[in-house]
Amino acid sequence: MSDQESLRLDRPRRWDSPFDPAMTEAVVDELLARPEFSGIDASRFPAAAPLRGILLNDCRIEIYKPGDIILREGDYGNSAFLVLSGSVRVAVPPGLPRQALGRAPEKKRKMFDVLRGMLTAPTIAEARDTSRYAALNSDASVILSYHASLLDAPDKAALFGSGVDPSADPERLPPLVDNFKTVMLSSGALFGEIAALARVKRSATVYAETTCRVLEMRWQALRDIKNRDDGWRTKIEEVYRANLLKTQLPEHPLLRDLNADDLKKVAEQTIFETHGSFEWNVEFKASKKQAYHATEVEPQVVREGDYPDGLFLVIGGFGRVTVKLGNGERTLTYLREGDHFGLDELYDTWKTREHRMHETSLYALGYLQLLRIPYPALAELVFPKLAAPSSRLIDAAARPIEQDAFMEWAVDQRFINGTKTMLIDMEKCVRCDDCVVACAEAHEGNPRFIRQGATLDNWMVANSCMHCVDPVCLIGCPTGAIHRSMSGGAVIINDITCIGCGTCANACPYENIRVVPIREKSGAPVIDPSTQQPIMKATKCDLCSTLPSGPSCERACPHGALQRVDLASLTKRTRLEADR
Amino acid sequence: MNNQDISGYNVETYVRPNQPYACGRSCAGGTPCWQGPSAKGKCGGASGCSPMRVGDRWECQRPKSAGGPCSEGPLPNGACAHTHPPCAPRRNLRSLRGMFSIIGGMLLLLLLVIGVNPLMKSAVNLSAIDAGSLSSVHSGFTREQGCVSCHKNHGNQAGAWLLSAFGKSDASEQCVDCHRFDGPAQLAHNVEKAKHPKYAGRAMDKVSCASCHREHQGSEAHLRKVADTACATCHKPAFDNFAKGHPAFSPKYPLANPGNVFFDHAAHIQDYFVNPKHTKGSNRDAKFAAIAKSDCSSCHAVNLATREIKLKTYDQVCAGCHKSQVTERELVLFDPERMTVAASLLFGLSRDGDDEANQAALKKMWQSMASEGRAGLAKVSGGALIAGLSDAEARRAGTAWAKKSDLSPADAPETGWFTGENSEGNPSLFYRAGKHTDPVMIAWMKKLRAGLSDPDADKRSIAKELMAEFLDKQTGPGACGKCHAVGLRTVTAKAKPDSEWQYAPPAAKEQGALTRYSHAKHLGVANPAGSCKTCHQINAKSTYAKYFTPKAVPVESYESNFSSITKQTCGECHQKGRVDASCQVCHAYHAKHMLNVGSAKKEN
Amino acid sequence: MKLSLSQNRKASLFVMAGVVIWLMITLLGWVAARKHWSVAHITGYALFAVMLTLGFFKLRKRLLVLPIGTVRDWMLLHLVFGVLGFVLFFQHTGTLWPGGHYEQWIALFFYVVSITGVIGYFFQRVLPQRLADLGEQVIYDRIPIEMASLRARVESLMLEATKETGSDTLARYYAETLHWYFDRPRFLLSHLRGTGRSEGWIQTNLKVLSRFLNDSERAYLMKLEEIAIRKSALDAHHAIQGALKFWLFVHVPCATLLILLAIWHLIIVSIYAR
Repeated sequence: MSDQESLRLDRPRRWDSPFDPAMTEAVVDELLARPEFSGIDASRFPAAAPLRGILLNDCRIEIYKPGDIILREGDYGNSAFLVLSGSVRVAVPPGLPRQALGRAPEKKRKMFDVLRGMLTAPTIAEARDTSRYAALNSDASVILSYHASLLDAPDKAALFGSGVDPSADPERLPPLVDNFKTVMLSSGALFGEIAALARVKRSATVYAETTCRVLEMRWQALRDIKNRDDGWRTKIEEVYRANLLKTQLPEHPLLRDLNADDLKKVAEQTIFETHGSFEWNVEFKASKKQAYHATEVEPQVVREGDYPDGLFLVIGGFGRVTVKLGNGERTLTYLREGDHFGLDELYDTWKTREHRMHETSLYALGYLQLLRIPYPALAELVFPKLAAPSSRLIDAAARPIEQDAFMEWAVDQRFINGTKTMLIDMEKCVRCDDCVVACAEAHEGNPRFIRQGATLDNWMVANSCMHCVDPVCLIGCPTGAIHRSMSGGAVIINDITCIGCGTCANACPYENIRVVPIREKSGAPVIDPSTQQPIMKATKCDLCSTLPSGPSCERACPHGALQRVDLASLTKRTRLEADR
Repeated sequence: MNNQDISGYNVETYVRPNQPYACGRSCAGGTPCWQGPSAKGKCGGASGCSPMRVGDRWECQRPKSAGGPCSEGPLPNGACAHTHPPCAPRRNLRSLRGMFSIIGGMLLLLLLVIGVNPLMKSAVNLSAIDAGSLSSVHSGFTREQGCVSCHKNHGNQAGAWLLSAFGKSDASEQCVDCHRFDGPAQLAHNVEKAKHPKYAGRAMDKVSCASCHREHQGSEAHLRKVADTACATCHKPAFDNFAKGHPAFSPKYPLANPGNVFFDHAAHIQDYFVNPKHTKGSNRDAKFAAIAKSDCSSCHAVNLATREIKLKTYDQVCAGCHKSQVTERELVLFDPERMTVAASLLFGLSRDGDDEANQAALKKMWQSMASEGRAGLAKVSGGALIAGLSDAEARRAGTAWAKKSDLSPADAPETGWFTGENSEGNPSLFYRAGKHTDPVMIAWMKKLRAGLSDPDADKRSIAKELMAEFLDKQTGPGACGKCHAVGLRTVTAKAKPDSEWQYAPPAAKEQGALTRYSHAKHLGVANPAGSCKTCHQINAKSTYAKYFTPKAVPVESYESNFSSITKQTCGECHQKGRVDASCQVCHAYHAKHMLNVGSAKKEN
Repeated sequence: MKLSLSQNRKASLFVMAGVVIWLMITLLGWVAARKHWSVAHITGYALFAVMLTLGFFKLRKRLLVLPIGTVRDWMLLHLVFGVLGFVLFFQHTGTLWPGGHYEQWIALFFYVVSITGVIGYFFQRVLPQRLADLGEQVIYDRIPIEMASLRARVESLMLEATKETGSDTLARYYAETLHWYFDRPRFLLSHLRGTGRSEGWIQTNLKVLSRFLNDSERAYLMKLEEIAIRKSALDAHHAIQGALKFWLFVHVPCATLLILLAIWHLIIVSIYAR
């Protein structure tokens, strides 16, 4: 190493790449003067990340014209929005038709570029074009600044009514027809914080009704402010809960047949519960080294034999349903967003007028967000309209134990978090490494996964990013370099804004992120002159999202041994029937 | 449950199978250094870190991923304490495999172009284009010139040689330097237009030599042998079973054409040689007849047989029985009572013509013979017609008949001219042939035939009429007409001399020219005497004799004494598992092959 | 799980396509024979096209982004065309061993490539199961590293045993006999064939050693056995994964050379045997 000239490059810092270079101190002053911010005690913020700094670097002002779509239902997002002036409308469920929501164009690389890249891949590990880092500007920012608009929708008559010209008034958009329900938000309203904080999809579409000025806050900003200011924390949590109830309940299959009044009554009685910790990866990694039974450390929500209080609806996180078996507990299934727990027993109770106890236990797998609808509401409003459940959860207990071995193991390892888990059938894999080579060719000669990992029987879950439903790696990132792509949902690291702190790598419960020292194209290591340490960047599988063809690893396997599998949606009651 | 599932072989850093070099220390069994080899394959990790000066001390800067700062710290002069000799980075298997392919390819190219002997004169190493040994017949004379003898492109320069892959080059064009044929070499069967009646006039396809004759099949290869499938490309439908698939032989095969000599095999074998009526008598050779009735070789010279089996001579075969007939039937020249056939011919006067004129002419002749003797007759007849007639005999005849007195008595000789009572009892001047090829008889036949093409129509008709009497089977003089009638009647002026007397083998049709048959090979199989009948069987119902009547009969209606030979007969032996039945056994492709070498070499 | 057409049906489809292609070529050759064209040219060009397609497999893997079929489909194609090429070869040469010197080299390489291909096919069907049954998986390139760490563990165990128990029997036996085993991958052929020679060797040595040890030493012996068994599994990985990699070492370079030889053959035939 000493015989190679190394490049000196200052180690990147959190705010090397501000969210909006146009943010000025004057704008920050204006923001601080507003009622939303004026009440915050700036002294509670650390010197490294002062409030002014957060506003200057992690926020930006955006102007939207009438009709501009600010967020789309179903997209992933990393920002929350505060309305500074003007008004926006939230399209509550069932929401707007998909065709009206123009999607931001996906920037995929051209085929020729990709081919050229593949065939001229450098042979130096982790070579980078460091000239890109030197010119850090807002082009490197994550958000695509492209505004789709309702005015571009193909069928405007369906939205606004026939005979109405939506662009007649340049300052205000006409209201939508009656079958679309909207709620207006004006100055001071905060929206989009659920998706930003909870790492889930946007729950509703929000569009600008008038010309409005909106403050977009990266979720890191929201996190820091929320952590330091009680007022913000309470407000966010209240709004969070209220919005959840408004958006989640009407969507639920069990409650679909209820009318608006009944729904409102149910909502009023519903209790919001969270179990476990948002940052569950910490104790999970610790428990992997120590615990014998997973259920000894997982927070228990319901115990088998308990009196059922109400129906649980899962709105976030994962839960494990178990039944006692011998001296241990057997996992029957796992629950994720959209599932429910306790229906069989409660329905029986209502039907037979005899009290039925919980037949199974429920544990929080790291983090579990529940809505609990108490029994009286169920008995009065829900069950009369509900058909009897066709199968019972407890029937799964009759299956042979071995048949559920894979599921049990996947739940223990928390692989059920993964939407693109790399599953390799080791009886088909001939260890040719074509998958690794293909991954390397798609990433300038650098593979992004390791063909090694936890194995059960012939199934190996390799160390490749699973693009989790609940990506805990996002939690600690100071810059937002690691983020969810807007559509698709893949978790991507922006190489330019990554400062190599390693938080994501440490956070990942599955060791799928690796922080690597980078080099110049010539092979010289890139060194920070002040510390003489090599500059590091975090790297991981990005699902080949910039390629037109999709993940290279799967395409490259000649024997079909490697597959990217959605374990989160795998049929939970059957064992893995692979195409052997 | 949890910790038992953890794989024991956790991997901390990426494994890079796409990189051509791996750290040598890891290959030798140590821990790979964190720097890794350089792109060119040099060790990158000789030094543990690059120490940094902080104040007046040096600090270790080993990254956390490699273990963090070491406990020893750098040396006082700022060098790292953890140096080690550079490793030898090893190529990984993938890149090694690639190297094998590249080196192998280059070696191959080298071997192909230069080969073992770098001083080769040819564009390319010969063994790189060796397609196998030449046949022994060609390998000798081509050794000096080499491949260029046949492959003209071989002598080109490298660029032209490569480009000739896209041009036309046919080694067959060189074959004709030595191999000539009686016709264009590269057309089928060496003819321009088909001669078979079925395809008459059709232009023949182009067939190159190499399409049938393959060289480079080793020195023992038999170049002339061509597989039947080659023939089958044109001669369809193809067959592999001679007995079933070969077209039937022509209906009159092999004796479709009549000869010039009338010889009824059926009559002879079944009657004349057998019936005592014909065999008994001093003028019959009963012994010969007894053999000949069953032994074909008594008349046919089988021991010299190829396709044709020649006949033995007249004297060996026919004279035994027919000799007396030749002599017995006299040629009556003059008869004082009437105009004879011969006289009619001589004077050019028809017998049915003016009687007085005939008599006057005759009388004039007698007087001439009486006064001048032979010379008087010769003035009209010429010498040949009366060869052997003595002067005295002529005067005797002339004086007697001019005066209408009786002839003086004399003894009639056995052969020759005589004036006196002929076999019918009429006094006349007649001639008795002495032998089979009697010159006087031949001269008279010639005169007759010349008369047939006389410009004068009257004379022609006279000659025609006389011909019929002359060549009458039973009564014709000299018994010539008994056997030679057809020849004498039909052979044209253009034919070869004496061909009217020859047997004349059947004219070889064009098909026949490419078909070969050898009696000799077949006759040795069983007893030569009896085996003829295997293929040649007398056809009792044949109308052979009808063709040899005085009326002109079309050739198509001729029927041989023998039944035609069918392919079934040949097929008895020439079939799978027995005798070779391939096309080339009986058929030739090239009509006539001439080698243009040595003394036979012609300029172009 | 994501296939639109089940893999078995796809395989049947490819095999049928291969048979159809072979029939078409044979039919063309039959027509050519009847017209007395050169059949060898037709089978030759067909064989060349088949060989190029087979060789293109490697290139297709490098140009992964092109939407010309998945690598799995190309693998099926490679298998089917490999058999097709083998049949076409004999149709082209008409004999098991050609006459010309040069053609004999082509034939030799062809046989080597085909036979290694068949061997490779069976390796790929049989060996991965053996590897999966070994339990813990390890990447081939990391085997020397893992083996070195096992060796280090054993050596420190021996030193610790000597220090703790006061007797150097274990260390001596290690220095005399056992270090041979831990130095490098051993019993490779046995591991490839699936016989248990290494287990036998370990057990024999343990029995031999055991009679000289007391209980505290035997505790170390147990740990030594654990490490030796882990090392045996590593050896098995080395042997089997090595076999899975090395057959390609012969197959790919020989295939490259074969294609080059075939191109040369094509040139020569075009120049000399039109």
